[in-house]
Formats: sequence, C-alpha cells, structure tokens
Amino acid sequence: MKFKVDVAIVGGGPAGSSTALTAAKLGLNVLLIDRKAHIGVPVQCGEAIGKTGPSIAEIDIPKEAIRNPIRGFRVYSPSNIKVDYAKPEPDGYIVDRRVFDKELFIKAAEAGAETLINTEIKELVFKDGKVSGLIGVNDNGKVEVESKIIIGADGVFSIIAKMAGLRKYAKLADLDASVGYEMCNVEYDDQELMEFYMGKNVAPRGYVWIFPKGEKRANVGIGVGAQDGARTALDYMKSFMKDHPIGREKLKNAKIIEYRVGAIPLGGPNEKNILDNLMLVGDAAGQVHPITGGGIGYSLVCGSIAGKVAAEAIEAGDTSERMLSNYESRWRGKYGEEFSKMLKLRVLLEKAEDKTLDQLAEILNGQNIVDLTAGRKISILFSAVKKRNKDLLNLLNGFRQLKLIQ
Amino acid sequence: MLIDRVKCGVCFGCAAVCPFDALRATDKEIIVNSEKCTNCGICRKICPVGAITIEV
Ligand SMILES: Cc1cc2nc3c(=O)[nH]c(=O)nc-3n(C[C@H](O)[C@H](O)[C@H](O)COP(=O)(O)OP(=O)(O)OC[C@H]3O[C@@H](n4cnc5c(N)ncnc54)[C@H](O)[C@@H]3O)c2cc1C
Ligand code: SF4
Ligand code: SF4
Repeated sequence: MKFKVDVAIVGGGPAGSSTALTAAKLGLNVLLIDRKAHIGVPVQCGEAIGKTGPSIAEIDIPKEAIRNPIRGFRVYSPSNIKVDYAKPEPDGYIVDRRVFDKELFIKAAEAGAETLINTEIKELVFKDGKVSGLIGVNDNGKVEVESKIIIGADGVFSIIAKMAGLRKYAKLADLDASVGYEMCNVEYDDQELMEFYMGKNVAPRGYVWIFPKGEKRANVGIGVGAQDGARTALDYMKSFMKDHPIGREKLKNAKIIEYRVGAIPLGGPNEKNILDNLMLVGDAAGQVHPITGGGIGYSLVCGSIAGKVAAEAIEAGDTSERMLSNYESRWRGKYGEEFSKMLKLRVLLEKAEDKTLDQLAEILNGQNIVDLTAGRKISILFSAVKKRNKDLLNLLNGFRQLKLIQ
Repeated sequence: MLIDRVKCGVCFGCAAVCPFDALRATDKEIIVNSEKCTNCGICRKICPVGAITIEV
C-alpha cells in the first residue's frame, strides 16, 4: 500500500486524534495510523480529565465516554490525615478511555482523515537528510507513506522520537511504574472527589489513587518510582488492598474487572520536539504533568496546536523546522513554565519525609486548600509552621519560591 | 534479560529506559535484541510486575 499525504500521524491516542481532527477540519489531506486493532484498548490510564484542556483544544469530551463528574481531590497523608481540594462545581470527569479514544478517532475520521489501523510503523524515512515518510506493515504487507509533515504521537515509548534523534532513553527517575484496576463494589468517601494515598510504605515516590466512576465502580491504581527490585508496583498495590487501614476497608468487597500495567513518564518535555517536516505530540513529546502524570488534556491541546501549525505550514509551502517552531513556541508558551515548576515541586515532594507531609496535612486538616492556593490564609499557615518543624518550613518556602503559595 | 510473557503487561517501561536500544515493541509484546542487550538490569527496576529476570 502506498500513500501520499500532507500530514501522516503515527498514533491514534488523544494526541494523534486531536492533531488529525484539527488538521482534517482545516482541509489537509491527513493519514492517521495506529498499530492497534481496537483503538482505546487496553486502557493504561487513571481516566481523569479536566474541562480546561478539551475546551482550549475546542474538542468536546465525547458524551458517551463520561462516567462521573469530579469537583476535586482528597489526599490521605502517610498517617491518613485528610486534605481536600474541592471546587463548588465539577471541573472535570472520570471517563472511559476505551470509549474516549475511540470516539475521538472516529471524529477525526469523520472530519476527513484517512485511517489505517492494525498498522505498525517500523521506520522513519529520510530523503536528503530530511524526514520524508514512513514505512510500516499490516496484514496487506508493506505500507509506504510519503508525507510533507510527519507527526510522532506514538506514546511513552515513541520510536518516531527515537529515530528522529529527539529522545534517546528515559532516566529511571523520570518514569513511574504503575499497576491499576477497574473495580466494582468500591466504597469511596465522596463520589465527586478523587482520592490519593501517600507514604513511603504505601507508594514510594508516588501514590495510590481511587478515582470514582459512579455506582461504586472505580479506577484504582498505583504509581511508584523505580525500585531496586525488591518490591514491585504490583506488590505495593496488593498490600494497599490487604493491609492499608483505609484501603482495605474501601476495597473490602471490591471485585476486579480489568487489570492494567503502565509506565508514566514524569520527566517533563523533550528539549526539542521538531525537525524539518516533523513534530512530536503527547507522551512522545513528554507533554505530561510531572506530578500527577496527567497527559490527556495536554495531548488534546498540543495536538490541536500541531494541527493548526501543520495547516499554516502546508498553506505557506514551508514545512521547515523554522516554520514548525511556531508549534514549539505556542505550546511551550502555554505549558512550558507550568511543567518546569512542577518538575521542581516533584523533587521537593519526593525529598519530603512522611513526618513532614503529615505535619503539613495536620495544619491543613479541615480546610479546603482551594482557598490556600489562591493565597488566602497563608500567613496563618506560616505562623503555625514556625513553631514546629524546620523541614516543613523548608518545604513551604520551596512552595513559595515556586509561587504556589504567596 | 528475559521477560516472563505471562506477567508482562506490555507497558513499554523497560523499552523506554533501556540505555542500549535493545528493546522494541509491538502492541502485544516486547522484543529483545540479544545482540544489543548488555544484561545491565536497568529495565528490571522499572517493571511494575517483576516480569524481568537478568541472566548471569
Ligand atoms: C497508569 C497511567 C495512568 C494515567 N492516568 C492519567 C489520568 O488519569 N489522566 C490523564 O490525563 N492522563 C493519565 N495518564 C497519561 C495519559 O494516559 C497519556 O498522557 C495519554 O494517553 C497520552 O496520549 P498519546 O496520544 O500521546 O499517547 P497514547 O495514548 O499512548 O497513544 C499512542 C498510540 O500510538 C500507537 N503507536 C505506538 N507506536 C506505534 C507504531 N510504531 N505504529 C503505529 N502505532 C503506534 C499506540 O498503539 C497508541 O494507540 C496516565 C498514564 C498511565 C500510564
Ligand atoms: S538489561 Fe539493560 S541492555 Fe538489556 S534490555 Fe534491560 S536495560 Fe536494556
Ligand atoms: S516493564 Fe515489565 S510489564 Fe512493562 S513491558 Fe517491560 S517486561 Fe512488560
């Protein structure tokens, strides 16, 4: 099979479908390729998404995918002191990623993108030193694609990023190992709050999450920093279900419906995400929140920017790196600072002892930290802290330097 | 390095961290290039399910 198109996109996840949808709407000749036979399966995700990303990207969250509205979250500190961040109204959802990804893929196809599923891309083709196409395989044999612009939206282990020379390999410290479940019969505190559980013995350098999907169903999982091999993410997850004083109660009657294994990239964006005729989007670009691991919203927004820049470049007849740098500057203008702040915050939080986090939780206990992040009440916080613990003061000073609190 | 196919959940973690470019993936499995693999053991540390053993 041979194709000649304006834009060829490798990967039909949120990043690829968003790019395809945007570019197709703008009249480009688009080819959207995925190696999966079933888009959206398997789910390797907590399935939480805010309203902001889709709205900036001008992409509606597919109605069929929405499971449960979310107002915020509740954190359980290492000794299980609760801290809430709750808005008065829902500002996000827990979705069903199987449906979410598939619907988005369908929308891109309906907008005019050609689709190729079940097709594994093996090679990035260069002509005169510049990216010019792709080679892949599917059940019909060899697939050859010639394209003015190639989009690498092929996820956490992106071979496009690798072959383009834009990413070599991830540092262990920048990847979290994850295991998760879809469950029913889960007891949660409040259907509109996502729950996080912290602590060195619960989830070293990570957390356990319970994300309510309504009707006592939930997405439950764990992300932990790379281990020396003694205990795996799966071991920590099992002990949360069996031994954690709150976890074991909530999951007492839970039944496992689906089992998922995942790798969450937390190292922030690649230094560079473009070449002549090429852009990287989504996990392939490292557009993932370095603390929460959330990436769906960023993928949608950055994909829509890539789609628009592709249209401008094709229109101008110039797909050079210089032209595509509009993509880099626009998405970095939106998220660059946030990502670098959050990378620093991750280091602070990872260094903090359980004891320090517990003291912080004690002080915050009973308050809604939506107020605190808005800068209110913070002087009270500091006076409370001064009397107690130097580590905590350091942590809060770190927060202040990052302008997370005033 | 050896992968226990029953345990492996194809999360791509090992492939993403391998410094020697020894791993490739389809959506169903991880493929080891034994010529490139140095048995360094780095990939084992990220595996969420303990599916990797390093031969000695
Ligand atoms: C355990 C876990 C929990 C998470 N929880 C959340 C959450 O709650 N909220 C949130 O916002 N984000 C979450 N994320 C992150 C989120 O899942 C990703 O950021 C998001 O899926 C990125 O989208 P993407 O399109 O870049 O990549 P993907 O969704 O990974 O899509 C990449 C696509 O490319 C295809 N592909 C790859 N290689 C090839 C090839 N060679 N040829 C053809 N096709 C190929 C794949 O089949 C796949 O369909 C989580 C991630 C993990 C691992
Ligand atoms: S043992 Fe080392 S070289 Fe071999 S696959 Fe694992 S990380 Fe790569
Ligand atoms: S890290 Fe483990 S579970 Fe993930 S792909 Fe590699 S062997 Fe499989």
